[in-house]
Amino acid sequence: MFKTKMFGICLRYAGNYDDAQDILHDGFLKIYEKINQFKFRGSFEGWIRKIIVNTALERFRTKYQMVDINDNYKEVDRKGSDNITVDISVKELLKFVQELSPRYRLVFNLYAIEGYSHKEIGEMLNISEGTSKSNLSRARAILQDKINKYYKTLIQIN
Amino acid sequence: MNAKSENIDRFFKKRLENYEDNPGTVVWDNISEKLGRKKKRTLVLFMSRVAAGITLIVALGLGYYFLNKDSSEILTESTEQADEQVKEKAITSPGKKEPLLVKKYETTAESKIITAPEKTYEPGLTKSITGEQSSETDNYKSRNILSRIKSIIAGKIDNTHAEDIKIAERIRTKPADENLVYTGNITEEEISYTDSKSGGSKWAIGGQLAPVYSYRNVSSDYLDSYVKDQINSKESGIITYAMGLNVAMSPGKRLSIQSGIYYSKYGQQTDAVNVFTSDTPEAAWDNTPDESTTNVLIAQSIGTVSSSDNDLLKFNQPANDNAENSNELRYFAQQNTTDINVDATATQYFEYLEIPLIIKYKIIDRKIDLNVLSGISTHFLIGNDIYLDYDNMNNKFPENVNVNNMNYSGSIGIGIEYPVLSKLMLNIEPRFKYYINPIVKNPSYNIHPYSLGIFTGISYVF
Repeated sequence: MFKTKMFGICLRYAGNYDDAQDILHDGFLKIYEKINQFKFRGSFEGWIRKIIVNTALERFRTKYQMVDINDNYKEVDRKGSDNITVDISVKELLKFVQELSPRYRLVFNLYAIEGYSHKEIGEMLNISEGTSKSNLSRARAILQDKINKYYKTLIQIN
Repeated sequence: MNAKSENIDRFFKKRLENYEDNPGTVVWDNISEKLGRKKKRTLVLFMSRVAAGITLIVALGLGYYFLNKDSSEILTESTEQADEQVKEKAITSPGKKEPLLVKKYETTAESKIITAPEKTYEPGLTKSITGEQSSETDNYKSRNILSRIKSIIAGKIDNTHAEDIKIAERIRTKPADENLVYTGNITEEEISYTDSKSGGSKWAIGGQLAPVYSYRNVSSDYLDSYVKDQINSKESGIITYAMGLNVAMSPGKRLSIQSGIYYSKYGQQTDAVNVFTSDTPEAAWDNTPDESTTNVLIAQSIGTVSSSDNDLLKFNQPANDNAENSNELRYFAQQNTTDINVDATATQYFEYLEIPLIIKYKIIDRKIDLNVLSGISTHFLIGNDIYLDYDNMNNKFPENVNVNNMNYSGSIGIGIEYPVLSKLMLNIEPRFKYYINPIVKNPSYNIHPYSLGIFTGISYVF
């Protein structure tokens, strides 16, 4: 079933469980409406995925005005753990992503996980390519911080 | 972009890309409620699964039941049948039974006279010959008659019995040429007809030809009615044909098992063929843009087939895009695609060699027989062609590679059989056939073809 897979995507784009449920709900209603546009070419899952992701984007477009704020964040080589291979639960990672601000979250999801280019993300979110890049860097930095902190607490506990 | 940044991207992607979680039943209930189709969907799902099994169960069940019934009841049934048969015969065509005897004994002039009986003896006489087992249950009268007949036969050898002489005397008074008239009445058909009622293993070979209406049933775990509405609006069934040779074996009086080899053609038709230029949507989705081409695409439920051969469809490309593609969808995948529908019709044919195993049961056993039949067939794909009909051109399209090479189907039907000549039977059998396994491998949908054919044919019984 696509249901759990799609809910996984919803959770990544949403800030919390309730929002994710809303996205899934709206997304699947849209799938039912648009099923007549599916032309049996390509992957059905890919098609559903597109609609779900799109529903998430749409939601944030209306909920938060996507103002083109380029915070000119430049990536700096920060100190931190390079070997983030130590066990960390997926739930924890999901939480980190969810804790990002909506804009960072969207850009990070689209770029790092879905694999879109900055140009495409710019078109989707109606922001400039530079903003997309900057937001991504900021998101990465925040996530890196969170991971570092997580390890620190782990070490302290141990 | 440094290595570390990519590292963190990969780190998250690896773990979150395929993350799955259960949304809980609330969301699903809400969706179902909103669509108001929950019950229907469950029912459709249930039905589609059950339907596949039913034919098989019916086939096996019928077979088992009647085979069992055969061994235990056929004997008594045939006895009763024979009784009825004889009585009926005796009443409706008394003259016709006599020649049997005449034929049997006419080798000697003496017996000819002796065995040409008076009409009063006929019922007992015939009965004693065609249904000997019935004599046990018969009344006194028939036993009496039987004993007389036995003595007649015995009298042939030892002609001293007084009663025999008496009978012989009475018979002699009848005109001799009456026997000849009776002899003329006898036909092979009569004999074979009588024979067939008395049971025993029989064989038949035959051939059949049928016009067939073929289409398919679409089911999906959860998008049933919408998917169906959509594809059913674009697709339709077609009329084709099937033919074959069969051989049947009847172990009992009413039951027969039939097999053979059939050629059959199935398929369906798709209207509004898609044509798109530029990248394929998949390529755009994967961010791996291809070089721009024009593709003709037959999007059908039984497997999408595309070709970049422009000669297949020489069309004047409309200026407008497909209005169906909303802006949202264009964000993804289709931004560089010009997608149009062309008023072309694609017809997909599947040709199969079929090996059926059919169990027939006679429910009405008269001159015109009525059968019910059920069975399973194995289908071997031997032909797989798509023809594109556009602007008075009919072009062959590349093969549909999505189709299974082997399929099983269940069939049910009724059959009427009529003897046109003594051993030559004419039959008409409307048969419904349903594919037990899906015809294409598709994770999202199950496509089960079905067909309705009116099979007509002849068979030779021996």
